[in-house]
Amino acid sequence: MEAATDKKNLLSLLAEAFDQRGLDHHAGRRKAMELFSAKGLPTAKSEEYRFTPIVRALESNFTAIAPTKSTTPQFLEHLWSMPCNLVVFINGVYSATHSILLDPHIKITRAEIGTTLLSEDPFALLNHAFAETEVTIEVPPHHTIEQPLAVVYCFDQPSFIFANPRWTCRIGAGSKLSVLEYTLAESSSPYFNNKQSFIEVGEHTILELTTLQQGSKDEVLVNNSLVNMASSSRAYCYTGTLEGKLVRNNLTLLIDGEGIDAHLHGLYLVGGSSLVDNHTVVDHRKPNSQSNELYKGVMDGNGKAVFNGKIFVRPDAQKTNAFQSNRNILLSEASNIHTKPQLEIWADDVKCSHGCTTGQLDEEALFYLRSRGLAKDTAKGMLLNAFASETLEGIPNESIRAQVNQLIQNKLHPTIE
Amino acid sequence: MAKDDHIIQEFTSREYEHGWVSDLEADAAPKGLSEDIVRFISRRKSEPEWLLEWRLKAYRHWTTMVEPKWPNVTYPAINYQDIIYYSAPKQKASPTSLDEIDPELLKTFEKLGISLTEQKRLSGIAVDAVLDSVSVATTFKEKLGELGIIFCSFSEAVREHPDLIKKYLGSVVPATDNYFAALNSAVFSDGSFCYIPAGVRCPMELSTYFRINAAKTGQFERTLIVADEGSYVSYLEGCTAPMRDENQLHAAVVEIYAMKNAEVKYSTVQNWYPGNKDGVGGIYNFVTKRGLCAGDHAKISWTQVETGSAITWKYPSCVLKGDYSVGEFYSVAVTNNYQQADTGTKMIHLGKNTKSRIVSKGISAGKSQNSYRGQVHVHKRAVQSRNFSQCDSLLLGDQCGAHTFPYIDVENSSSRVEHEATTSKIGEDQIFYCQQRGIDEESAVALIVNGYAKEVLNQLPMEFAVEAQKLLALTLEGSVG
Amino acid sequence: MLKIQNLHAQIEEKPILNGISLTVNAGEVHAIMGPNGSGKSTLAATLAGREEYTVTQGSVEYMGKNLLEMTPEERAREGVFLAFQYPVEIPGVSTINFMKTALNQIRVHRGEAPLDAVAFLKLMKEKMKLVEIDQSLLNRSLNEGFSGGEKKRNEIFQMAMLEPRLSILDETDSGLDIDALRIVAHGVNALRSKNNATIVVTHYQRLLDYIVPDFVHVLYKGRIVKSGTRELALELEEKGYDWIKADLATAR
Repeated sequence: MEAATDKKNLLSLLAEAFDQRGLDHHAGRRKAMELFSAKGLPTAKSEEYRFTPIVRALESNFTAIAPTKSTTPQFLEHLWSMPCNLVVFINGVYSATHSILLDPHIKITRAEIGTTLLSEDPFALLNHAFAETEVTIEVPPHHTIEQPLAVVYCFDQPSFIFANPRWTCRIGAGSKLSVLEYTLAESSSPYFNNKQSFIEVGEHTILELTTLQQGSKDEVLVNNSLVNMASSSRAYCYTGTLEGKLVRNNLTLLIDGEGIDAHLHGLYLVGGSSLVDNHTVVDHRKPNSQSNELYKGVMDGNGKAVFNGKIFVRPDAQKTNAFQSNRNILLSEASNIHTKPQLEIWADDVKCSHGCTTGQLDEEALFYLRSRGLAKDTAKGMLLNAFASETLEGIPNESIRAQVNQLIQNKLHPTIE
Repeated sequence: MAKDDHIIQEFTSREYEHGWVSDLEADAAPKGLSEDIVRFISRRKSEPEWLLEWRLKAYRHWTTMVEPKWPNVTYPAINYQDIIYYSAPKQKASPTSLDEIDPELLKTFEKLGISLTEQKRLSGIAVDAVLDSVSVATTFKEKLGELGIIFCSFSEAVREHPDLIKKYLGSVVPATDNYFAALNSAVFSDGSFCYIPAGVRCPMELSTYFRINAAKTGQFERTLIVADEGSYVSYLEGCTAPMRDENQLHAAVVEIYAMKNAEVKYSTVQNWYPGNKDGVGGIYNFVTKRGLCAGDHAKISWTQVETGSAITWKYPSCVLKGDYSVGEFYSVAVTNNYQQADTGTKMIHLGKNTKSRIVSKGISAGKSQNSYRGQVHVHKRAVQSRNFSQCDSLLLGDQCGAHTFPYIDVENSSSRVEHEATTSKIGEDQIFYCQQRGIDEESAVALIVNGYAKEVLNQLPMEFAVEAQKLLALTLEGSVG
Repeated sequence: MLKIQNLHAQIEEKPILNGISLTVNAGEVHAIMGPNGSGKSTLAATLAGREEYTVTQGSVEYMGKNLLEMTPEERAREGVFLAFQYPVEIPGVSTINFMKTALNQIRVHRGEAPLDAVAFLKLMKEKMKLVEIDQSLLNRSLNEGFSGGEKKRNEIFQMAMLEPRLSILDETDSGLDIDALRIVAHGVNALRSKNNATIVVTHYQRLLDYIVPDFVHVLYKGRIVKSGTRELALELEEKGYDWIKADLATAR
């Protein structure tokens, strides 16, 4: 009963804010908001959010007031050792002053939000209704962009922020781009980052998308990420979740051409009472392409994780190869994982496989290492790191891989005990 | 697709190579099954009273049982009263040398490539040849005897080694185990017996060769292998039958008893007559095979290449009772035309730290149906146990079916069970790709099928592996395209 | 080397090739371009002997022999190599085993002795370098689980191993990202010689930046409607195929 009232509160808060900010004058936003209101916020009964109580995570401190315009964040430090093209959102709002491009071929434009809805996910709709602006990043055909493009989400307010960053990236045919996505936030700032991105990958193009989620401990994050791939292109999508109170990733890859290679790798390290939920969709619509997915998780304390991997192979998508694997380690009694592979195949000449495992740390291996003189913690850390690092195969760039590996190691060691 | 049909036709018109009938005079029981027939068989074999009682007990139990319906196969009801349960080629009561064996009989086995004349055999394989219901000859007996190894026909074992038979018969597959095992226990006519004494490593492959010759005959043989502590034996089994329009029943039982540190490797190349291209005739192969790793560190390994029979129903199993015991199952099961196979294994983990491994490769062609059915059961006590199963299916053409039914029960949390399954399809595209690289169609099919089955074929003893490879290519030749 | 005259071919009663004539001499590289559905891949498949395609008219002479009378494997053994648009996966058969079987059947056909394992491995190691392919890949089941780039590199590796006289590259760029495209093109170029000829079938003009053709032919509705040199490809990149279509419409 109580939950029902709170849910209503949250809904009415959102509806009020939408009106107060005058967002209802815009047709696209109105369309999104109407659909959102009709669907409502997801509950435990909503199949897609069954194990992921986002409403409950938000209801304690949610406010829908407009985010403050970009201040100068005190800690816009650079996470990566290599120079990057920067696209910066501060408290959900695009900051032109901080967004510095090193490569003159990249073009950034801002426009009013469009009227085409990218997804019917309630949070995607919410983003459509509330996002400040549509940021479009364009890479022309036949250009290899040497420095990665870093998309940074900064949060620097002690009060609650409802952020709706939104961007689109179009990579022309025969080009190559590496996108790094990450969050910079004070360790306890409370915010709801409801992000939406859309990447269009041209023919023969290479996309590397490395998303690193290590925001604040109070973070609620919904990451709607849509990647649309054209023939003969290749994508490496890596999603690493290291922090956050509640993180939900909706990663969708549309395999909309022939001869495509799509790689999805993910790692989630979940401790405390956090929850990390990865929903992936690989939608094979054309023949002769392949996808390969590996997600791994380590859960400790009261940590919970959800993995739901959908693979669609449409009637036209003959000779598709699609592989999916989800492997989990539970370190404590109270931690748990809900994993659900979901293959829907309409074509008959395809090769698809999925597998999932949930287990504990290999006691035999642990004992072996300890019998060689390693302390229990060190041995445990070594085994967990070995387990986690397999996902790093999904990051082709060596120096990015090394840095992600370092962050994982830093995170894994304190977890161990 | 027209090409497919043509090729399938071309293949199916191929004659079953072993489909001839030998003109042997037979001493047979009247058709049908009753207590009298059981007594007839027992009397013919001059069996002791206890064995007759054992048979009758099995028979009485059988009459209370119903035929299993769970396998994924269909066939018309079997009329158990229309089968001849005992048929033996007429010959001198007990031949003491090959000279006394009917030359027609020797020719039968020569034709099969099984020479019973020891001198002619290049490789060291001792053979027990079983025709219809009786064992006709066992080779290399003396040489094995020097090591204390007993290798003889079942009837002879009952006469010469009654204590061993009494002790181990039914110890792994009880007379009442299942419908076909009970039937076999009641009417089994002969088979092979083998005992390897403690610490002895059998220096040659032991082999049983089965052939059904007489019409309307069922073959119900029984094999019992006892491996004493620390011993080792590799055992081969091969089978053929003539082409006949009616279906013939083969319901055999194989029992393996492995004591502490003993290892038994049992390989089968099963090439019973599969019926013709329209699914008429062929052998119903309903077989119970089970091994018991009774002692610690015992190991039993089943390898089978199944290309024949109209219907195959068989699950060579391992009961891993001893701690650290190991069970293995490697299988290639090929079905073509209207053949049906429901085959797999059971790995029952009872002891601690027991391990099992299952590699099953199903190949379906024509309009056949091929099912893998496997059970992995890890008992509560079987802590730290492991199983790895891999079940692959290869479909040739698009009118056949492959099915996988894995059953996994794990009752403790320290054990690990892994299951992997894949299905792949071979069609015109693969064949054309090979041709475009200069490889003709026949070589292409052989290349693909042998490549696919390699992991299992590698488990077979060398000579058998070559034979099995040829058999595979022959069975499937022209069935893709 | 190859003389195609008035070639007509159809699949399931549907005509695709409507009178193609083309002469390819040793040492030449011909590019066949055209929009989707113009018959490019049909031409490649017909030359390699795919049975679904029925030749209804015309002739193909290859090294003085009637190519159309030969089975696919005879064509291969006579030196016709087709690099597939989407190479086929064969489970359980390693590339090494596959190539050994193919090479030795071709050698026997030529009256040469089959290569033993040592000689074969030596030859293989030499050819592997050309396309930067790793031996671990060649030990795996043929094309199974290979990325698009690996599959195409494997095609060129096989081409290097079999040393064909006439290579037909069917849409070699498909399934290749920009990095893999460079490697594959490098391999193809390294194999060019005055004794062999190459037909490159593509709809992607960019490929011809890497594999530079001597002649370019535009295929449209099953006919070669325009032939020229490399400049024709550049012109196509700039103007697209609509230009050709419009040209044809006015000519009619």
